[in-house]
Amino acid sequence: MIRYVKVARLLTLSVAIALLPTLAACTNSNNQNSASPAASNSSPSATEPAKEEESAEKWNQKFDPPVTITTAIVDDGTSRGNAFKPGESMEDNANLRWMKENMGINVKFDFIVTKPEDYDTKLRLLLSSGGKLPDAFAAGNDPLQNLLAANKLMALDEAIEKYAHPEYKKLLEKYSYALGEVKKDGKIYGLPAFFMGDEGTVMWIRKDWLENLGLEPPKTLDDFENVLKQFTEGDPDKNGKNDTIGLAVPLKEGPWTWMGQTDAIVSALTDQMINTYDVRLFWNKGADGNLSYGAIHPDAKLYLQKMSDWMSKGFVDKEAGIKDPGKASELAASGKAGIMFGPFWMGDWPLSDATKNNPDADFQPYPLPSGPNGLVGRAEKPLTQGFTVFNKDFQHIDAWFAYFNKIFAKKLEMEGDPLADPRWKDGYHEGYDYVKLDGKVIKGNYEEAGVPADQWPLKDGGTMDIRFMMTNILGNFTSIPHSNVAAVKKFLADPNAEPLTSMEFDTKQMKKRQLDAAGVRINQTVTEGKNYFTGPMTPTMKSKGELLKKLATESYLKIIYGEKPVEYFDEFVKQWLDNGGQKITDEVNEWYAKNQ
Amino acid sequence: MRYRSRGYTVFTISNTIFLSLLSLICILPLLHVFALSFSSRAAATANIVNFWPIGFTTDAYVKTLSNVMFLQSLWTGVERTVLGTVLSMVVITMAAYSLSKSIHKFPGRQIYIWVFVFTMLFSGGLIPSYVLISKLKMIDTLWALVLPSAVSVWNMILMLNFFRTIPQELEEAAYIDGAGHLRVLWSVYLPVSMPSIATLSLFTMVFHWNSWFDGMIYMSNPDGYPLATYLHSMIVSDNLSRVGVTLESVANFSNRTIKSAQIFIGALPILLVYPFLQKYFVKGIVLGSVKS
Amino acid sequence: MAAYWRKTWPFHVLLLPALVLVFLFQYVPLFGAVIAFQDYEPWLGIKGSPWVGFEHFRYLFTYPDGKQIIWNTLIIAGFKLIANLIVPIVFALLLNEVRKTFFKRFVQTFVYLPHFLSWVILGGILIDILSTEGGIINRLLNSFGIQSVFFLGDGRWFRFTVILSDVWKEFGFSAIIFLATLVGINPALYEAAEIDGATRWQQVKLISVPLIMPIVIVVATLSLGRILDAGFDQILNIYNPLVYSHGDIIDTFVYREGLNNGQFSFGTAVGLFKSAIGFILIVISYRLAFKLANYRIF
Repeated sequence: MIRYVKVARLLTLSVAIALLPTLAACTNSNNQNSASPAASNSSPSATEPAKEEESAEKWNQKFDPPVTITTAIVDDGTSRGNAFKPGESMEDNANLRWMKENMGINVKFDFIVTKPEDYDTKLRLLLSSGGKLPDAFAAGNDPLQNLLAANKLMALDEAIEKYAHPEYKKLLEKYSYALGEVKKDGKIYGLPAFFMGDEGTVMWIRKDWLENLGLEPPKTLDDFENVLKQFTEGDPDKNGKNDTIGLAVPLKEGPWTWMGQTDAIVSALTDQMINTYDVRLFWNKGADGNLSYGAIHPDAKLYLQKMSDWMSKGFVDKEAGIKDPGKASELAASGKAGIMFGPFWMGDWPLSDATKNNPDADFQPYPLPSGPNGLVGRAEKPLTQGFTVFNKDFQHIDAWFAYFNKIFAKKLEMEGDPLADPRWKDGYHEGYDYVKLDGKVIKGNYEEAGVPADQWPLKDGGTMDIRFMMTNILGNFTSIPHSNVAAVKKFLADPNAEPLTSMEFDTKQMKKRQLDAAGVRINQTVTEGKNYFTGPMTPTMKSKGELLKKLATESYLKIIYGEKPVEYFDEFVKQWLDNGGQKITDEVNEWYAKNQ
Repeated sequence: MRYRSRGYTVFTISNTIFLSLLSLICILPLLHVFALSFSSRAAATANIVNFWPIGFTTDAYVKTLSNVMFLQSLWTGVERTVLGTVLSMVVITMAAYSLSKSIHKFPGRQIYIWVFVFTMLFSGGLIPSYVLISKLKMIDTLWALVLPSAVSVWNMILMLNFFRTIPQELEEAAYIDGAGHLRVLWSVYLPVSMPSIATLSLFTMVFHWNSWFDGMIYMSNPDGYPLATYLHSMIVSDNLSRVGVTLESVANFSNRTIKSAQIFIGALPILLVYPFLQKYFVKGIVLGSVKS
Repeated sequence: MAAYWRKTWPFHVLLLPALVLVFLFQYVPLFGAVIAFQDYEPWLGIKGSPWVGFEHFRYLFTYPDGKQIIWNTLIIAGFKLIANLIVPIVFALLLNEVRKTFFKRFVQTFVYLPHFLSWVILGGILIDILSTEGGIINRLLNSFGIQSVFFLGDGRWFRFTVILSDVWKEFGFSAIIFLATLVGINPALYEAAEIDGATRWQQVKLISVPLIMPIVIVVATLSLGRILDAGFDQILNIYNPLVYSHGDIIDTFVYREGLNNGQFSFGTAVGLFKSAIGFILIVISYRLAFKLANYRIF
C-alpha cells in the first residue's frame, strides 16, 4: 500500500532561481482598519515618524489581540542550505518572533515534512481522518482537486478585492489563464505561486572543443549536426582516443524535462511543442483555435527522424533512454560530451564541475540554432508552481494578507508603495540577510567587506538563505515573472555595478556563466511554445493518463533507437487516440472553450 | 577431526578463493560509497571516483555531523531500534514458546497459528492504520513506530521452529525438577537458543533501523524522524522537477558526497553491532549435553 | 473444559501480548480494506464512498498491458524466489566448511553489506558499472572478445540483470538464517559420522543438509506468500521506457497509476489480490509439507 501513496508530481518542472526575496504573490491592500475589527492600526512598538498619518501607515498593521495562523510546510533540511542560525528552526526563528511582536501574528505549524510527495500524503490523511486542515497552506494537483471537491476551501475573490496588494491584483489578471486549477464555479480558491520564467533553454557547448577543431558555434541545425559529428569523431579533447560524443541528453522522461531537454531541436523543426511524459503538457493551439497534443502531431516525425539518425550515428549518448537529467549531466561533467541543452543555472551545477575536473573544459552558453525553415524557439516552462489555499473556516485572512503584502511589496520594490514596510528597507532582518557596517548595507562576502567576524550572520561567513524563514504561512514562494530581466542586463553591461535593490543583490550573486547564459536567453527573442491547457486533470486524464504517458515515451524511444521505423509513428498515434487520447482531446477542448 | 584427504585440501583452497572473491564483489559498492563520501563534489558529479577518494576532503562528514537534524534523527533511530527490538523479541519469544508445543500438548495452537499467519499477508492499508494510531493518540510518539510492527509473524515462525529443535530431554528434566513453563523458557530454552535469538534480533534491528515510511506518516515534524526516514527524505528527493531549482539547491543538489557520507554513517551502527552478535553465529552452542 | 484450561493456561497467557497487539494493529485496520470495493475519496470516508464491486480488480486484468505485467511479475519474482533460496543455502554450506574463524567472520561481514544499501543508491551504481561506454562489466566482456551488452536497455537482459543483482544484494543476509541453523547442529553428530568413516562430503550430504531442511522448507513456504512481489524499489530505480515491455511489474504499474490521483482503492484492490494469491499458496504448501513430510511448518 505504502508505495502507492506517492502522489502527484508537480506539473511545473522547476523553479527558476527563486531569487531570494521571492515570496508569495499576493496583494493586500492593507485597508485593514476598516476590514478587521481585530486589527488595530497603531503599533505601539513602532517608532516611525510617519505614524500619525493614516495613509502612510498602510504598511503598519498590528493585530490585537494577536491572531494565530496555522500552516504546514515542506522543509527539506538538506537542499535548503543556510536557512537558519544554529539554535533556530522553522518553528522558532527571528522572523516568527518579529511577526509576533510587530504584527501580532503567531504562526503554528500543523505539520512539517521533508518531501513534496509526503506533503500530499499528509493532506490526504488529514482529509481521510477528518482532521483539521491548516488555515493557510500550499496545495497542488490531485490533493488540491480533492480539497475543492470536498468543499474545504475558502473562495478568495472577496478577500483579494478587499486586501490584496494592487500590483498583485494586476498580476492575477495578467496571468489569469494560469489559474485553471483553482477556479470553481467562477470563483478563485487559491493564490498562485509564479516562477521567475527565466529558465528557458540555452545551448551549452564546450568552447575549448570548438576551438580545438576550428569550428564556429552552430547557427543552424545543419551546423549543429556538423558540430555533433566533429565532437563525436574528431577527437575534440585531443587525447588520441575515440571516447567523446556530441550531445548529452536524458530521454528517459521524453523530449521535455527540467534539464538537458531537447525542446530547442523540436522548435527548430516545427512550431509544435512536444512532451511525452505528462498528458497535461504540451497542448498546442492549432490554426482552427482548437488544442491538440503535441506528441501526436505529424511534425513530431521530423524530430524523431533527426534524433534516430543521430542516435544511429552515435552523435548522442547511446544510453540516453535509461538516463534522467541528473545522470545525463554526468556525461558532460566528466568531459565525455560536448553539448547539453538546459537552463541558465547549469553554468554552476553541473557544468562548472567539468572545469573543476579539467581546467581546460569550458562550457559556454550559446543562442539556439535555427531549423531548415528558419524556425527557432524553445518551450515555455509553465508559469505556476502550485497554489496557496485557505481553510474554509479561517477567520483571519486579513492578517494573512497583511503579512503577504509586506513580502510582496518588498519583492516589488516599487517607489512610493504605501505597503512597503520601512523597517525592511535594507533587507528583512539585520544580522540575518544583511549586516550594516558604518551605515552601509552588506549582503554577502562579509569577510571581504571588512565586517568583523562576530557580526557575520553565520560563523563561517556564509550568506543566509532567508526565504525559508520568511515563507511560513505563505505556503509557496512566488516570484514576479520576468522581474529580473533589468537586473541581468545591468550586470551584463557592468559586472562590477553596485547593486541597489534586493533583486540586484541576488542577481549579482549569480556565477559569471549563469549570468552570461541568462543574457543569451534574454537577448535571443524567440517564440516560447506555451502549454494552453492549465486546467485540472480531466476524468480521462486521470484514468488513462499513465497508460498514454507510457505508450508515448516508449514509442518515441523505440523509434529513436531504431527498433521501429519512423512510420511506426502513425500506428502509435492511432493507439494513443484509441486508448483514451481522443477522449482527452475532446475534454481538453471543452475546457478550453469554457475558459479561454 | 580429520580433514586430511587431498580432495578436501583442494576444496578448501578453492573454497577460500571463491569466498574471498565473493566478499570482494560484495564490498566494492560500499567501498565506492565510502570513496565518494571523501571525494570532492566535482569528482563525484563527473563520475570519476571508483574505490579511492579523488580530491580528498572530509567536508561531507563535517557538514553531516554538524547537522542538528541528522544527529537528532540518529538518536531517534537508535531509541526506536532498541525499544522496538526488545519489545518485539519479548513478545515473539513468549508466543513462539507456546506455539512450539505440539498439537497434543497444546490443543488449540492451530487456531492461534492461523490467526497470526493471516496477518502476515493481509493488511488494511495506510488510511485505517493512520486513523487508528491517531485515535489512540500515538501520533508523534515512539509507540506508533514500535507497537504496530512488534509481532513479526515471520520471525515468530522461525523462532518456533528453532525451539522445536531443542531436545525434549532438556525440558523433561526441568519439569521433573518442578520447574514451570516460564522457568523452562527462561533457563532451558533461552540459553540454548542464543544463535537463533541473536539472528532474529539482528533481523528485527535491521528492520527497525531501515523502516522509513511509518516515521514519515506518524511524525508530524521532521524533528521526530528516525534516521531512516530522514535519510530517505534526503536521498530520494533528488528530483528537482518536484521542488524547483534555487541558487541554493543548485549548489547543494547532487551533493553525492554528502549523501554518501550519510549513507555510510547510517549503515555504521549495524556494522558495529554485528560483530557482537556474530560470535553466536560463528561459534555455535553445544546442544544436547543431557543427551550424551 | 476446565481440565483443558488447567493444563494449557500458561500457553494462552504467554500468547496474550502478541494476540492483543495483532488484534489491535492488524485486525482492526483490516476493515479498511473494504475500500478495494469502493471508489474511495478521502473526504467522503469509507462510509460515504460509492461501492463499485470488483471494478478495480477487473481493471488490472483488462488493462491493455495487464497480462504482460502479470507475466513479468511472475517470471521475475519466481526466479528470484528460487535463486534467493538456493544461493544462500549453498553459500552457507560453503562457509560452514571454513575452519578459520577469522576468515569466516571476515567473509560473513562483507557479504551481508549490500543488504544495507538502498536501491536508490545501487540503481545509480548499477547504471555506471553496466554502462556500454566504459562500464566495468562491459570492459571485462570486451577484453574476452565479447560484444558490449546493454544490460539495462535491452529487454531480454533486463530481467536477468534484475534477478542477478537482487541475488547479489540479498544472498549474504538471507544466508544468516541458515548459518545460525548450521552452527546449532550438535558437533557430536559429525564426530560420530567421522568415526564411522564418513568423508566430509558425506557428512554434509547426510547431516548438514537434512538438518537445515526444515528451516529451508519454512523459509520457502513463507516466501511463497510474496510470489507477486517482484521487487518494487529495485525495478523502479533501474527500469526505463526501453524495457517497459519486459520489466514493468504489478507494483510499478500501480505506482504509476496511483501517481496521478492517489488511487487508494485501486492500490488496496491490487494489494488484496496479491495477498489472496500468496495466502492460497501458503496454505497449499503447508498442507503439502504436512502430507508428504509429516512436518508442520508452523
